[in-house]
Amino acid sequence: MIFPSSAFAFGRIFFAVAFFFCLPLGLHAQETDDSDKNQKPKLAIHVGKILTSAGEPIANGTILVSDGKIEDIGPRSEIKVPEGYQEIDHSDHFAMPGLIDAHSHVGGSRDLNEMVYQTNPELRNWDQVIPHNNQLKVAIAGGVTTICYIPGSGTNMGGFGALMKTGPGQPEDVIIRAPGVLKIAQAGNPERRTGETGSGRMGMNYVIRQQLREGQMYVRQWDAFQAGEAPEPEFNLRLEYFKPLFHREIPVVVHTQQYQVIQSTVRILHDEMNLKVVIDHGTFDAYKIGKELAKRDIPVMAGPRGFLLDRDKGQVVGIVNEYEKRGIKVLGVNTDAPVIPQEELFFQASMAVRYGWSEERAIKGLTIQPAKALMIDDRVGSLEKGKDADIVITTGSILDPRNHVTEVFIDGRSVYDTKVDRQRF
Amino acid sequence: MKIPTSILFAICLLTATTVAAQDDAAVLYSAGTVYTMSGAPISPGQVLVENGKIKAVDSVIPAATRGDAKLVELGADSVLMPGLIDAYTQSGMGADSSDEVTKEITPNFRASRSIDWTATDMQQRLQAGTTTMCVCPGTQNVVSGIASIVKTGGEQVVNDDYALVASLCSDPTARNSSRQRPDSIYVRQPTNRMGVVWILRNSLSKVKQGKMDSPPIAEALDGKRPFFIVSRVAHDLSTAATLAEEFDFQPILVGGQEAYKITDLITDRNYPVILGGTTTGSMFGPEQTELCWNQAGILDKAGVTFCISGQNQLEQARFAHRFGLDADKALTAITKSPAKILGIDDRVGTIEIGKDADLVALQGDPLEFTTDIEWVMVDGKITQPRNTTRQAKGN
Repeated sequence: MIFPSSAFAFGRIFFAVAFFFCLPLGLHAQETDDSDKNQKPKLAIHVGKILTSAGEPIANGTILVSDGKIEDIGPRSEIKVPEGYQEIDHSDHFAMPGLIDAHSHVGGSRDLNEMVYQTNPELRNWDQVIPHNNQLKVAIAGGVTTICYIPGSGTNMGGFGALMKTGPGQPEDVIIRAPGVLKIAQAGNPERRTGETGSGRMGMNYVIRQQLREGQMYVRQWDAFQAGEAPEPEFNLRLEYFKPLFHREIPVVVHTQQYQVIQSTVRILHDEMNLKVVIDHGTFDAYKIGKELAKRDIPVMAGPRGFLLDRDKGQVVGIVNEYEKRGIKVLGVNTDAPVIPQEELFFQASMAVRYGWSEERAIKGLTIQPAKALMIDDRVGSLEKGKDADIVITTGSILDPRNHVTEVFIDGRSVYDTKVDRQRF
Repeated sequence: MKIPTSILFAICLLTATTVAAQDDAAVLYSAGTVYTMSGAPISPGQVLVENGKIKAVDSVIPAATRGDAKLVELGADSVLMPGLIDAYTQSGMGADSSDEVTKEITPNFRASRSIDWTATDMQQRLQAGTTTMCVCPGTQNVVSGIASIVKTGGEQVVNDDYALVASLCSDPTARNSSRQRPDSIYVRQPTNRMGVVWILRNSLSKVKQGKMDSPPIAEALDGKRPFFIVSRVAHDLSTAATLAEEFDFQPILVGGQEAYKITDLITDRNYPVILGGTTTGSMFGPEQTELCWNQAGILDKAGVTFCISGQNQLEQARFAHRFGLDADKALTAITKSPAKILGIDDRVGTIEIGKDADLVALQGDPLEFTTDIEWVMVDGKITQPRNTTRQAKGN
């Protein structure tokens, strides 16, 4: 029995009264209920130290959250908490923007590679998004709030991927942008021994250029038609998603590594096709071409293989730091989850710091830099007024493996809280 | 004293033949309860059957209506209910022959062309009370063909040229997958879901653009032909909705093991759901769907139009009722509701005057697990005497 009998009787009277009040307002009450369901909480989160990824850290800060967005942020002394805001005390904790993984395969079902053809621009993976799936639940406990969910590297052009939050909801709630990116994989994984042209590297470079050229022509024809300079071209569903790609509204994330291969990435995708290119992986000795990437402002999301034995120096070098030395501005890390578990994204940055990367750059490399690379920095990646309230609360710097995540907010909602949920890490 | 089995068998046969011989003459069946499924159960109730149709149904049918119809007393505990309707099945097509695996788009293939009327599973379905079935082409290719609605007793096709069936699930990839890197030039798209979605989108788009001539697909897109989409996991069901919006058609969702997760989406769009079986002994269904044993109850509460398909429908309904679906809804889900979804409710699905005399006679509450089927009637013909049912159960 949950209620003592007297309270139960009182409850019944209360219910009757409440019922009478509700009666004339039946319809209205229902509307209120619906809006309550969609209403996002108003929060004032007080934090010991805020790493904003957008300027200096704020000591003793407050973040005001309403409607899923950051309403205001600043030192606690300067932020006035309005009436009706739930105050959450994290004054002995750190806050930072939700972590963003620029290369992940765990956003949905395991249908990663459609293996028959080398280029598959007709494929898209956001039909198979499974919001808040088991891997994403664990990812949240590691502070990851946004992922770039992409097809695999089994073919040259695996298809179009989606940018999504890791939190709960229906697919339309969690998807930030779809099509979010195009996935291209060069050398290595897509190599094969049979089938159509493109079993080796020369062939792959040929088919990728041919496919992109076809898309580029298609987009140009439509652009010309829209500008009134040409007749209406024939509709081709297979090439439709090339429109945002060649209009540079979405980037191409490229599975590419090694000096030789990354040269062809830069030459074909950036110089020849004029695409927004993101180097994903960029491992082995690829960093040696770093200056060429820096010259072109090409972002690098390095990893998950983070080190290389530099035989000339007889020294193990950290790949991220080698890119940093060569002047890459937009530089981050990735897990390629499930290759490295999604929740261990922070550890990619920790290890980069161990090999010489600065802590400040590493925090940005987990947050605002991937946001910039993926072209979603208007919504996520830093704690600033007007951005999505994706906030990670930790017991200290996330780069120190001794610390852990205590609470995570996505779109202003608490989705993981060690006070309530089991502490996973 | 022992009577030789052969003599017993002969007597049974004789009885069966005698009953069958009377199918045109009027017979009055008097039962403990008649579940008409078009109103409250009638108890006690009588059903007058003549020329394969239901002539009258009432508590007591007046002598004037009854005429010289022969009276069959079924007993005080007996129940009469409409023959069960399975809205999605491959029964009757023969094992492994319901699929076309050499081509992904075969919209002109028709299920009725390959039905084996003597197939064991057809007989088993009849014995289990299913009198009408929508026989569908299999799911091993993306657009698999045209479903046909048939009766299980006798070679009778109700609707030869019914729904178009498409598979929006991982089934079409099963035989194409090369696992790793393609090791043969004979590997074909789709090898995964992205490919399935693409092939379906591409063919719908081509038909819509007039670049591919396929009347069945065109009719399905125009709403002139029902469009079955076989999807089980929640994201595939959502994809069905995405494609339905992209190409502006109204699907009937088949399978729907995870439909309970997205009831808002389904009720908003008013898609009927043909549930692909509710009974289970495991945590996961086909395609690793996360099963919920009260899935039917959840769909009902959310206001989804649904019916229950699959082997042994009575057991399905019992299971659904056991885990939360109301008793009358459980019976509706295997009779009236599938008839409505298939658009054949003018002929079958309820015990009403003028409808086909498709009846199931039981000894006791149909939703009780121990209740056995006495006999099954299709178009006035009692085709399944009890003792053969017993034998089939032993299989």
